[in-house]
Amino acid sequence: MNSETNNKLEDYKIFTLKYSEESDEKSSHSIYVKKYRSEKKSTRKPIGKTIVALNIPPYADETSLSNVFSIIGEVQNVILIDSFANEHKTKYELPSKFFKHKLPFKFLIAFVIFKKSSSVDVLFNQKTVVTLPPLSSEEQPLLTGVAKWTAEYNSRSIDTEEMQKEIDEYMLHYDKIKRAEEMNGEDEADDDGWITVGKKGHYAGFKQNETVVNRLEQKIETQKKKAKQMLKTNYQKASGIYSFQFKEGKKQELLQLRKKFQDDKTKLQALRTSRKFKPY
Amino acid sequence: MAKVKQSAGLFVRNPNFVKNDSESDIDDDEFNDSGVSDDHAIEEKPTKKRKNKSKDGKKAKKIKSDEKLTAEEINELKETEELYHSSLFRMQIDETLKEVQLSNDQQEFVKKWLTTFKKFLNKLPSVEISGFAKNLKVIDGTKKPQFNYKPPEDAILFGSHAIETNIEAKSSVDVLLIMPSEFFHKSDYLNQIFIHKRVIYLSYIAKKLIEKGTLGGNIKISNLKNDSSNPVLVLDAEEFNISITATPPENFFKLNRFIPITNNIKLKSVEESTTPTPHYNFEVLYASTIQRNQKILEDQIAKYSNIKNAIKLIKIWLHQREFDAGFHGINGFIVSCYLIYLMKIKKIFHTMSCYQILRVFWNHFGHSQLDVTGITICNEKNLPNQPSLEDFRKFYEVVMIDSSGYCNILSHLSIDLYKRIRIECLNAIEILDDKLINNFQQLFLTPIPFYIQYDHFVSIKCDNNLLEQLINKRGTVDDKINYHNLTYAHARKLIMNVLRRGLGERALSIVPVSINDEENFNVGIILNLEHAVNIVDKGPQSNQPEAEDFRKFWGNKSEIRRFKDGSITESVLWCTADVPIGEKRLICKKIVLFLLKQHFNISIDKINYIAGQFDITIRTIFNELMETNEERSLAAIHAFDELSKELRNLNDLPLEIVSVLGVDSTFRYTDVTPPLANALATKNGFVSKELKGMFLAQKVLNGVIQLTASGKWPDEIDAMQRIKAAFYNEIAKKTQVQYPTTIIHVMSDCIEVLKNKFVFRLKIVHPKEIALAKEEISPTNNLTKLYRENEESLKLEYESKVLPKLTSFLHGLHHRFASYGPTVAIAKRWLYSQLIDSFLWPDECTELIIAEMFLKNFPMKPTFQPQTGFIRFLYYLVNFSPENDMIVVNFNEEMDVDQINELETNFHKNRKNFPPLFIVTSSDLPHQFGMYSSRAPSIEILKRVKMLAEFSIKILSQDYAKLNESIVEDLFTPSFEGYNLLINLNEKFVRKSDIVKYKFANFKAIQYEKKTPVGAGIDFVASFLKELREAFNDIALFFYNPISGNKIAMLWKPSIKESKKFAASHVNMCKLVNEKLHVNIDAILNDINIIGAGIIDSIEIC
Repeated sequence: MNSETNNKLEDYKIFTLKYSEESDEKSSHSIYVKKYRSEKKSTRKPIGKTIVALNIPPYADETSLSNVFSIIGEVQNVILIDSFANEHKTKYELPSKFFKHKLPFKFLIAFVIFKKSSSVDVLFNQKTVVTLPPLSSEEQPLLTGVAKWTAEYNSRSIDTEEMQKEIDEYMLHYDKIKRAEEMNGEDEADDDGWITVGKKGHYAGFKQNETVVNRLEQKIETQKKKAKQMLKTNYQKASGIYSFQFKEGKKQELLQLRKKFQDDKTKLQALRTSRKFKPY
Repeated sequence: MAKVKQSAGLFVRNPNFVKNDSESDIDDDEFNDSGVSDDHAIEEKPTKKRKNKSKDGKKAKKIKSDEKLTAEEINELKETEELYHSSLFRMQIDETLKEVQLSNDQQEFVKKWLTTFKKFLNKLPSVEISGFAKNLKVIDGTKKPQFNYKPPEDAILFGSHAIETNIEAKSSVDVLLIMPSEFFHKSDYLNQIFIHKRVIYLSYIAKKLIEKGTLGGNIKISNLKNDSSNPVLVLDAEEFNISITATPPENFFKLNRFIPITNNIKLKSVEESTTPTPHYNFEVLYASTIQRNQKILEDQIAKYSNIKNAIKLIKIWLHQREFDAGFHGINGFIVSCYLIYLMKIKKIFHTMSCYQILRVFWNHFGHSQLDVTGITICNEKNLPNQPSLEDFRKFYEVVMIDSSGYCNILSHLSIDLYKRIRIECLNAIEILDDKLINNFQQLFLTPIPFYIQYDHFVSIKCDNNLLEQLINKRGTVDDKINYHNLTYAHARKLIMNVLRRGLGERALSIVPVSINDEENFNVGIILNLEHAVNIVDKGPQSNQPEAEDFRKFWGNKSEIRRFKDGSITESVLWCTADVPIGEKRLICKKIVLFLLKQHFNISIDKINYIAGQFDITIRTIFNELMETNEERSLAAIHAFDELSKELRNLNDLPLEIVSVLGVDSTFRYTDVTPPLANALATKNGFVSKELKGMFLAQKVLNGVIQLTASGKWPDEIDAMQRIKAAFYNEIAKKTQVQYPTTIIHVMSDCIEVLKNKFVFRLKIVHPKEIALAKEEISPTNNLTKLYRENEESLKLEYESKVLPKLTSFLHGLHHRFASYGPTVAIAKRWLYSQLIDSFLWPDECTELIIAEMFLKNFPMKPTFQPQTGFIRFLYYLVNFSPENDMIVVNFNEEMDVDQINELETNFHKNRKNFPPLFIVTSSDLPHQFGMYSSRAPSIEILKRVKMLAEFSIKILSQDYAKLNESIVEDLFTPSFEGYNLLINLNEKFVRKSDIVKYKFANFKAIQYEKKTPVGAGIDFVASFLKELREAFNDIALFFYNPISGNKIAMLWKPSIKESKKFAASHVNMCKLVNEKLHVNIDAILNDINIIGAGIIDSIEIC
């Protein structure tokens, strides 16, 4: 279990998150905020400067949340995820105009990263009473409903030239990284005499993925089994000459019949429980 | 080899990887165990063994049971295999026979009752009885019958009860009273006097029985087999009926007086009449031969339980199909006689198992020629005046002679019903031979009521003595005498002769159907898929003598036409070749209505022709004619095929396009609302001015593009996306050059193409994407890439592999059975109308259930008329138990029997591991069966749909003969009761469909100018619904009719009332009250308003 999911209520501070100025307290969601702690170090979410907020309504986005928390102190970044299971999945992406990962429209988890760690302290100070501003304001409205869908629909029409340019840049960057990765796999012993085994070269190892590993594993397994069953199979293959083998065959047939009979019986039992055999 | 070892070593260094521990335990176990079972020669498959091993104790038992194979068991097993279909079949026979058997108590009761009844009859006072039977027309000049009551010479049990072939409540206990000979004059067989006497005798007894009141309730005189000349006294004895009939003493009337050619009805007006009266003769003959025939049954059948069981099964089979109903349907007596015939010709023997007898019966009856040659079970050849089979054939449509040699027991059986049963017999054999279905269930346990049997159904309202008038006008003088007092039989003969000739090869079966109402004359029609839609009936050449007859038959419809082959013939044209198929399906309706008017002057308002009433639910408003969804689907498919060809022919793409496959339901002909060909490219005309797009289209149809294989695709999903986008760009550019009329709109994740006024959305799919989606890093060593199926990978796989395959299968199925597509469309529309959309009940489930019904002949061969298909679908849902049945759609028989059986066994054993509705198809991924229904429907929705189906069937079956569009409207109108919340939508954003709205009646009123399409792919209601469902799926269900529904209905899940302990994983949508989490309902209602900003008109909280 991740350390984030600990269940102590005392760690959390509860705020009301309004959608707009007009929303009242009663019909707004409570968000549950606590300091971010993690065993894994992350440069994106520095411990001390980061808070976790739970129960973020699905229509909220990074910008609106950033606006909301700016009341405490300057916000550097907001990261939204839909579940802690996916926390480490989000890889570093190049910002793109055309290719965006869309989060499912669910209640979300937000990581709010402040510029200064003092902001976090202010937020969790027992004495200060913080009222968060609404998500959507006149200056920076948060689009929902028809307005949002209209914008989404319009954004589908794109400048293909521009997109092509972005793609070319990305691929260039991608190829560079890939090449660098491959270059690392040179067959040279390091200081301790260890050789890093890459995909290519003299000492190429095998690809560490499941199919390859499984195949190898199976090979070992089958070899073992083969040896074990040698005797047995030889014995069975030779059947058909002696009368005892003939008998054996018949017996087997009968047993199979019986097995089928037993199967049918259980099937019937199932039918019986569900249906009556009364035809009408 | 060396390399392998090296690699193996590498791997071994990394021991705690991938495989979980439990599995290796089992391996060890197996190793130890094989030592034990070595000396036991019978090896089972290792997989099986594992299962057994895992549970201690079971293993020991298993081995023990293997050793004991007694002689008895061997015999039984062998017998089952040889004499029965399968052991399952045999067991089901036993179970069913047990169910229909009369209990000992009941048997005992009958015996006692009969003794008491006899005593009662003996004690009745001898008073004078006289009068006429009430519901028979008395022939002029008949003397009023009168006699003094005397107890019958004997009262005996006969019929099925006497030989123990009764099938419980469905057959009555028959009692025969042998009337004393003093009652009769020698000439009483003439002019129905015998029948009158019998009625008044029975009536007198009935009167006395009512007075006494202890021998049974609900005493009445009714007509046996709806035949008014055959009255019986019926008593209700709680669990079964007792029906009492009376006959003259055996041999009182000489049987040779009743040979078909003799006249026994002397009308005053036609003195010394010689008109043969075979149908009247039968009535007297039947009564006179009861005892004799009963003896034969007792001799030949009563002793042999296998034959008796076979008779019972056949009777059940007939009853489930309602062939035993109505005016002289087929009954147990006929079946028994036919079996006696089969014994006579040495086709069955009493040593045969009942399964074998059953099979022989179906086979022989299916191929019998009772309408051509006839058969007899009489062994004597030289009886006085004994008529030959040909003599019988001249007077009766179907012939089977009883043991006396004089009585044709099928005298009143309709030839049409006989032919229908014959076909059904052969179908039964087919069903038996299909190893993949539970054929017993289908043959014996599922009732197939008339309303799902026939493609078309004609119901003629017979008020004001319509039938009698019809006979007076059209019947011949001879027939009027022959069918005296048999109005129904006579009218049946006249009407059926005309219909049979008029429909010709269009119909496979035309069957008079009697439902339990006397008011209507009903005919069910099963059509021939090949010929039913012929637009022209070709007659003889106009200069030939037959032409006159043809003209007389068709009246002014008959015209002289010249055909392409040069022939000039009389012919009848029903519609032009270009009318929609929905209209062509109703050609038979035109023919029947015309003929009934032409020949019998029955006006249209007296006829309810049930065939296309439900078509209206999928009919487009843009055609005055009955245009269902096929035409539009076909146009879209043509456009798509053309596009696919163009794309495949594009030059100089970095990778070639191998295939372009459709995945939308339009490509399967199952879309309720396939688009009209009216899409166009424009910048204007969108719903709101803020919207910017390229195409206007009613609907965007989805497809996938597959490229030639290449190893150069990148290993990251992000990179892959971009390469695909670059491809889209490339495709657009090349198309612009090569095919300038095809317009492509490039987007980052797909292309939209305008082709022949349709818009298609195409995506490139690649197997590598699926692999990448599955990829995750092993948590144990942080190095090895594991491939685990997850939601995303399955979704990709479904879209790119499963759906295209399914689409091509179902497309093929529709081409085999043209009613498939529209049937599914009606079924889908029905579900939609009940606010159950594809999210709650996936469209593919409907498609597959109906595909199964078509492929497996459930409950019969595929129907010609979508309406019947739809009613069968409803009926199937009613009888379907998802708990115990799985749906197997085996396209092209790709899965083998063993595979299915194994799956089925597994299904029954571990029911919980399978989705509530389990559908297997041969287009499934090998490792992932049941994909179609894995997400939905839930148990609750299944139950609701089943309930709705039950309700609909109830309404339909109650008054099927009166089915009309207002009933259809009722069935397609949802109830908005019982929901927690109703969201009324802003009509501006509700998509307009071009099929008739739920206000079916005045569809013409819908304005035609709405023909212009909307922005391609815009459906804000769908977006709204999607967001609602994604956000609140855990706490609420949303219901919506995607065909222009203007309301979304919501139901809270019961769990929202619970409070939970605080936990980070539970806080979503909750507020904290007293340290407990409660679902924040107020906030959620507010959320709905926020999410649906602009689209919500109002919200009603119920």
